[in-house]
Amino acid sequence: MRSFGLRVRVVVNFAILSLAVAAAVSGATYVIASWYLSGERSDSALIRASLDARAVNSALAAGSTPGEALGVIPVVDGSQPMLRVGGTWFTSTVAVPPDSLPADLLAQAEVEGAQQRIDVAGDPYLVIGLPTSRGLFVEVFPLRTLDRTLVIGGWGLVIMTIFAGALGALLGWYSVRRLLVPVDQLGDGARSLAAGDLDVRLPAAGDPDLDPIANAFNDMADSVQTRIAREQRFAANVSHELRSPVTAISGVTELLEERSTAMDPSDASIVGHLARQVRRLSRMLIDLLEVSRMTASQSVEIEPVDIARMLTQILQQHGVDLSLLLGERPVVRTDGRHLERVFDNIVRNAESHGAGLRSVEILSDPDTVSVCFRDSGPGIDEELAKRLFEPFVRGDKADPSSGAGLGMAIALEHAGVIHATLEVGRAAEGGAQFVVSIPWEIAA
Amino acid sequence: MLTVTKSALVVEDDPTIRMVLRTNLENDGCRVMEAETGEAALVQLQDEMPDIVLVDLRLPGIHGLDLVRSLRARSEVPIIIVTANTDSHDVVAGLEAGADDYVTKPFVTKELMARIRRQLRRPVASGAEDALLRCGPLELRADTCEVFRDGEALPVSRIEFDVLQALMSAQGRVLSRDYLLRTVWGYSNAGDGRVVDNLIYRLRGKIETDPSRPDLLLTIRGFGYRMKA
Repeated sequence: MRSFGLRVRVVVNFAILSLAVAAAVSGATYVIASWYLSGERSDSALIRASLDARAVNSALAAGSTPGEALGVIPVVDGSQPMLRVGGTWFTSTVAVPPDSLPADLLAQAEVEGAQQRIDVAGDPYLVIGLPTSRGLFVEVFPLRTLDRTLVIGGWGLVIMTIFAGALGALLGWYSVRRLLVPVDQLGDGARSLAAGDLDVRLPAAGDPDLDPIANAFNDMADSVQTRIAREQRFAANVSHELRSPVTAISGVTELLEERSTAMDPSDASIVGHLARQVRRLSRMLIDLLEVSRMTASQSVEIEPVDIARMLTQILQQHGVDLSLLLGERPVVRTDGRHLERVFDNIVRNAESHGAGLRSVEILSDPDTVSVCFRDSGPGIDEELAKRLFEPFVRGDKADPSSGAGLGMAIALEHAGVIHATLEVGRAAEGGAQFVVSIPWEIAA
Repeated sequence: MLTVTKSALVVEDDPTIRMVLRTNLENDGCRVMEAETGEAALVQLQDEMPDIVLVDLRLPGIHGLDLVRSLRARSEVPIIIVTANTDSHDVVAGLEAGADDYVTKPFVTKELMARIRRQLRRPVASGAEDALLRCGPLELRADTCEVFRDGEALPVSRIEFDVLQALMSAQGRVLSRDYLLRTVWGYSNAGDGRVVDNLIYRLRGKIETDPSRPDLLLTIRGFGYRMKA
């Protein structure tokens, strides 16, 4: 049973136990009932037979023929009286022929009276033989009704036993379910924790057996939360401390770059390299700070945002000459700052990794407004698509000087804040396709 | 290039950043004063009030915020805070202390210079019909950059004047915070709406009878601001 779950094992054990108890009780009930009923039946039959034997005897003494004497006896419940005078049998019915009576029973009956159960043509009978002064009196009582009662009763008990087993299984299932509630809670808690909900805690049930488990889980969640917070703080502090030196370096570099026109070409080229790397460093730091800030505060200020206007402005800033494909000009109620960061990062990504945007389309449906960005690049393979929104993930072919790989992570974070979704796929014409779906209004 | 020589005070403890800012401002034709600490800045400000002040929030000695507060108490000079703190509460505290705009490190010098120019620029010569704007008891003169309430001149800063002018020119139409950031502050990207909110708050303190229950400069929740028509 080791390979079965705890649930199954408990249910099976409960079922077996209640089945065994019910079977024992039913068996005993059956034996006692059948013993009692058979005894009752043979006692009453014996009394009937004695009375009948006396009546036949007195009729014979009064001079009746054996046939007439048997006629005196009332036939009740199919009982069959018989009389043997000399060697001849007299009987009123022939359900049980005289020759089917066992000889040893008759022999014993002639001496002291006897009774026996016999089967004739498949039916059970009780035969009682009593000696009289003028011959042997035999009365046969059918036992079919009694047997049928016992069979029905027996089946009833079997059904009850099975029912008891099922009830036991049900009881087992119910109690195991009750027992496993805290275990299930523990499982759910661990799952939520793994999914990133660090605030999940288990309630104390007030049960001395179970509370230590809940407490242990809560302690673990506390320490995970503290550790993650500490690491986030560390990352935030590191990037924070880098700000002033990076600002200073980039300021000086910009000044150098402005003067590089007056330098000789090889010096100017060195300054150019320096400037590019400093800009990249600066960009990375800004992205890093944005990521670490996103986890800290996510305030939302809702205002009406004209999506087409916002996109036009962003495309302009990136120097992309492209007209939007749109039906009407949807205005959604959302936080424009977050939405702009989503669009900005997607456009930036398409321009630097996707060989430039091919089209930007705005589509409206009753629930959302979707903006579909398609680029002219090589497309994104499935493996990369899965991890694209993780920080520091970049495609193999990405130009190493193009960024830290934080853009899409930032876009996803901002999209999450305004309840928008961000999906990546392959455009029909090849190239990558990013779809941002923005709800018309952020549900409170 | 600014046509008239303006003066700027740079309060920054990092000598390299100070040098970069000075060089850029001088390239733009500004006369630059430097202070390494808030205390030094206060001493310099007693002698001369510059046309713009750049303040780093994290300074040795008195905090940049205190410097902004005490400066704002006696002057309408444009103040831009330069901060390494993008944490919301630092930015909000800086704006509440009286700063007109903020940039965060690391910044691109060109962008900072654009913001500075915006704060320093001279009033745009406007047509005769725009020269005088009225709204209730308020009167705005574009040619002299003056605002009057019931004939009495109100002390407003450059940027406050610009915001008020934009709102009064709109004649009761709602202007979004984003629009104001782009047109008045000269932001190219969506900026931080709190810059606008904070300036509106300060402006109300000057033009409204009861700033907590504004009656001229109204908030349209979720949209922006407008003047009473």
